[in-house]
Amino acid sequence: MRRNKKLILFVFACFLFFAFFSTGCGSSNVTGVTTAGGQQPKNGGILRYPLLDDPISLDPANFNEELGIEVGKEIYDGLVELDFDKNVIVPAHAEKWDIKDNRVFTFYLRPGTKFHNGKEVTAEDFRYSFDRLLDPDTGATVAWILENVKGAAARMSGKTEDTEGIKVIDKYTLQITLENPSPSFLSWLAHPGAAVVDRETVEKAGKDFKATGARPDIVVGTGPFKLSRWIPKNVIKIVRNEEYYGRKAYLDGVDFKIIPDTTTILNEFRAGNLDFIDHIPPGQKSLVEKEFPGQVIRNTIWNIEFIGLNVSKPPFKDNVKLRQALNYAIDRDGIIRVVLEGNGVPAKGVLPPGMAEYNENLRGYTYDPAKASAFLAEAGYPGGRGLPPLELAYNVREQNQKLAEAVQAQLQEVGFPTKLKGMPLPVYQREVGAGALSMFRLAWSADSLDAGCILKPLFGSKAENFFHYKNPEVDRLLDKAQSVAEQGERIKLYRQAEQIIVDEAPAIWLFHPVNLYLKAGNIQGVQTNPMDIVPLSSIWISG
Amino acid sequence: MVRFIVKRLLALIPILLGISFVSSMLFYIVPGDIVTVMLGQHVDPLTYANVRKALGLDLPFWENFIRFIQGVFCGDLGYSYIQQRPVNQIILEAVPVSVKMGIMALLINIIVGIPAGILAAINDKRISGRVLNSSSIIIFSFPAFIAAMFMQLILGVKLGWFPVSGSEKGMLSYVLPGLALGLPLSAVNARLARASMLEVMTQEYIISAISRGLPYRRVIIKHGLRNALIPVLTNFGMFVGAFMSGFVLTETVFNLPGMGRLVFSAINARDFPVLRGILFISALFAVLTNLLVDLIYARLDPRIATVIVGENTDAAG
Repeated sequence: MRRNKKLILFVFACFLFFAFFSTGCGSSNVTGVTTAGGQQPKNGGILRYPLLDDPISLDPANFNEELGIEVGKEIYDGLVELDFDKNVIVPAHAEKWDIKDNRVFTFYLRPGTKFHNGKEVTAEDFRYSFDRLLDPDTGATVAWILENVKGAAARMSGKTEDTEGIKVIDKYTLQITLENPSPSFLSWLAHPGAAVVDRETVEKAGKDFKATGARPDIVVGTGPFKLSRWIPKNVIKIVRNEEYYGRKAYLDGVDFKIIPDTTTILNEFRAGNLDFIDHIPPGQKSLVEKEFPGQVIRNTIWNIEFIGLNVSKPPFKDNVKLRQALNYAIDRDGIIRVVLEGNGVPAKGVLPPGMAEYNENLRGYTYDPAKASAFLAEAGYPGGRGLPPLELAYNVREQNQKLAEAVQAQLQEVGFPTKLKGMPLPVYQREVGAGALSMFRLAWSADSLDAGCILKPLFGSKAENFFHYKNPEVDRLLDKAQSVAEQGERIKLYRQAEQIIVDEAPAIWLFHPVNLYLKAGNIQGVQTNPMDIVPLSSIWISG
Repeated sequence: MVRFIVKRLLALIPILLGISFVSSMLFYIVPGDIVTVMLGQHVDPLTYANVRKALGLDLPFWENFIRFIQGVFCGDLGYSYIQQRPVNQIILEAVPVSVKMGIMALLINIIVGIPAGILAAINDKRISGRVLNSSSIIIFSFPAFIAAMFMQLILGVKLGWFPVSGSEKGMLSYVLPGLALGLPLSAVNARLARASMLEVMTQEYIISAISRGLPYRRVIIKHGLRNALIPVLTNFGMFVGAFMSGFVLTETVFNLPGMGRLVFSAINARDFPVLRGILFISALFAVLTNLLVDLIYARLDPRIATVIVGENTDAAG
C-alpha cells in the first residue's frame, strides 16, 4: 500500500533527523565576542540572569544563602562595602568611621541618602535594622554578623528589649561596641544581611516581609536597584534606582529567571535567552570553554576544600604521622583535573591565594606516595596492616561523589583501606556539626577580609569542633591577632598559627576552587571577586 | 445511591486523618536538620534556637498535629517553613502547571499511540507494521531524561520552534514537556492498541462484515476500532500514575513550576508543611476519583452497580 511506504519513509526521516542534529551539538551558535577596549559604559538594557531557585525571602535577616545574597545585594545597602582590588573596606552609607582597639566602631553616615520609598536614612534606621537581626522574634539566620556586639547574647535570648552595644550618637552618627575585639567585624558589616531596612515598612508588612514572592512595596532598601516584581518559581524583576546615592547602575534592570537545572540554564544561554551564567553543569566546563571562546571568566574563590579528620578518636587521635601520611598520599593536581575539570588551585595549607595572609613560603604537603608509605609505617601501620578501614563521609552531590571516589582510589593505592559513606545534606550537616564523623569532606569560605574568619571557627578551641582540634599555642596566636590593630603584625600571627595547624594536619588539604562564569558577547563590566559575588550595577550592555 | 455516596464520603474521614497523622510524624522521624543547613558556616546555639522558633519547628508533635487538623477545617493547610507563606497558595500555583502538562502529554499519547497501534495491527504482516512495532519498543526504551534533553536541544535551542524552558509562552511552552512525557508512554499505548486490534480483527463479526463486502476502512474504524479501544481506555487510569512519576524530571528539565518540582524541592529542603499539604490533597483527590469512577461504572453497567453499590434498586433512581 502507498500509505505504508510513506509511513516507512517518515519513520526513517525521523531517525535521520535525530541523528543529524545530535552530531551537530555543541559546535554552533557562538555569538561574536566584542572587546570593551576603551569603550565607554552606556546605559540601558535588561540583563537576564538565572537563579537556581527562589531566595527564601528578600528580608536581609534571611540572607544566609547564596540566592538571597545574589538578589538582595542589589536591592539593599549597608554601612560599608568590600573592595577586592585592594582588599580594603570602602564606604557605603557610612562615609567614614573610627575604630578603637578593634572594639569600638563609630560610623558617620552620608546625609541625604534615601530608601526606595523616598524616606531619608538615619542612624536610627541602622540601629533598628541591626537590633532587629538580634531580636529573637525575627529568627534571623544572619544574626552571626552581630553576635559579638556587646549585649547581643542577652538580646538574642530575649532578656533585653534592645542591644546594649548599638548606640545612636546623633542623626548621622552610630556607635557599635563589641564584646571582644574583632578585625573581621567591619568586613562582616559589608554582608548584605547587615543592610538598612525601613522600620515602618517592615512592621506594617509583618510576616509577609519574610515570604517568598513578597511585594515590591514591602521589599524596600536603599541599593542601586529596586524590586519591581516577584513571581515565585518564575522571575524576579528589579529596576534601576534613579535616586541612588552612589554611582547609578548602567542597566535599566535585571530579570532573575528561576531555572533549577544547570543544563537547562546552559541551553537557554545557547538559545540566546540568558546573558550571564554563574553555574556551569559539572562535566561540561571544558566543553563550554571551547564552545564560547573568550566568553568564559575564571575566578579563584576564597574557599578551602578539605577532608577533615576527627583527632579525638582513633586512629587519628595522637597520631600526627598518620594524618601527615594521608596528606602525602593525595595527588591534588590529579583530583583537580578529574573532579574539577582543571578548575582549582592545589591547597598547600588552609588559606587561599589572594588573601593578604596567604603565605607563599608555607611548608605544606606535596604528592609523594613513597613518603606516605614511610609515614604510614612510622605511624605504626606498615603497609596499612592493622589499620581499621577509614570511613570517608560526604554529602551526596555529583561533584562530591567524584571527589570521594578519587580520594578513596588514591588512599588505597598507598595502603589505606577506605570506605565511602554518602549522606543527604540535612543529615550530613548535622553529623558534621555534632563532630560525630571520623573523616568528612568539608569546604569553608572566607566571609571577611581577615583570615581569622577561617582559622578561628575551624581551629580555635572554642570553635565548631568538627575536628575536635585543640592547641593552646594556636589559640594564643589567634586571640592575639584579634586585638592587634596593625595589619602587618596580624598577618604574621595568622601565618604562624596556620603553619602549626598545617604541620599537625587535622585535615587533608585539597584545593581552592576556581569558579567559571559565562557571559554573552555584548556583556561588559563584569567584576568578579573571591567571595563569588558579582555586582550587577557595574555591568553594561554594548552594541 | 445517595446512601452509597454518603457512606463513601464518611469513609474519607479516617483515611484523611490517617494521612495527616502519618505525614505529621514525618516532621519528627525523618533525619536531618534544615536549620543547620540554613545556618551553614555560622551555627551558634542562640541563633539556632531563634530560627527554629521563628519557623515553628519547636512545636511538640500533638500540638503540630492538632493545629493542622484545626487548620484543615478552615481550609488552611498550614505555613511553609522555607517559603514562609501559606501552603494553600503554594499548591494552588503549582497545580495548574502540572494539569496543563498532563493534558498535553495525554493528548500526545492518544494522538500518537492509538493510530500507531492500529496501523501496526492492520499492517501486521508487512514491513511497515514491523517497523512501527519495533520503533515503539525503541521509543519506550529510550530514557525519558535523555529524550527530554534531546528535544530541548534540537527543537528548542537549534530550531527555535518551541521555548527551551519556562511557562511564559502559554500552551506552546507545554509542547516539549508533553512530548517528553507522552511519547514514551504512547509506545505502550500503541502496543496495547495493536494487540487489542489484532484480537478484534479475528472476531467473527469483523470477518462477516468484510465478507459482506463492506469497505475495509469502514470495517476497521466502525467495527474494529470501537471494540479494540475498550482495554486501551481502561488503561488510561494507569497512565495518569505513570505521568506523575515523570513529572519531577520533566518539570525540572523544562523549568515548569508544577507539583513534581514542588514535591522534590519540599523533600530536599525538609519543608514538611508543604509535603503534608501535598499528601493530604493527593489522598483526597485519589479517594474522590475512585468514587467518581465507581459511580460512572455503575451508570454504565448495572451488573457492576450491584457489586459495588450492593443495592441495585437504588441504582435505578
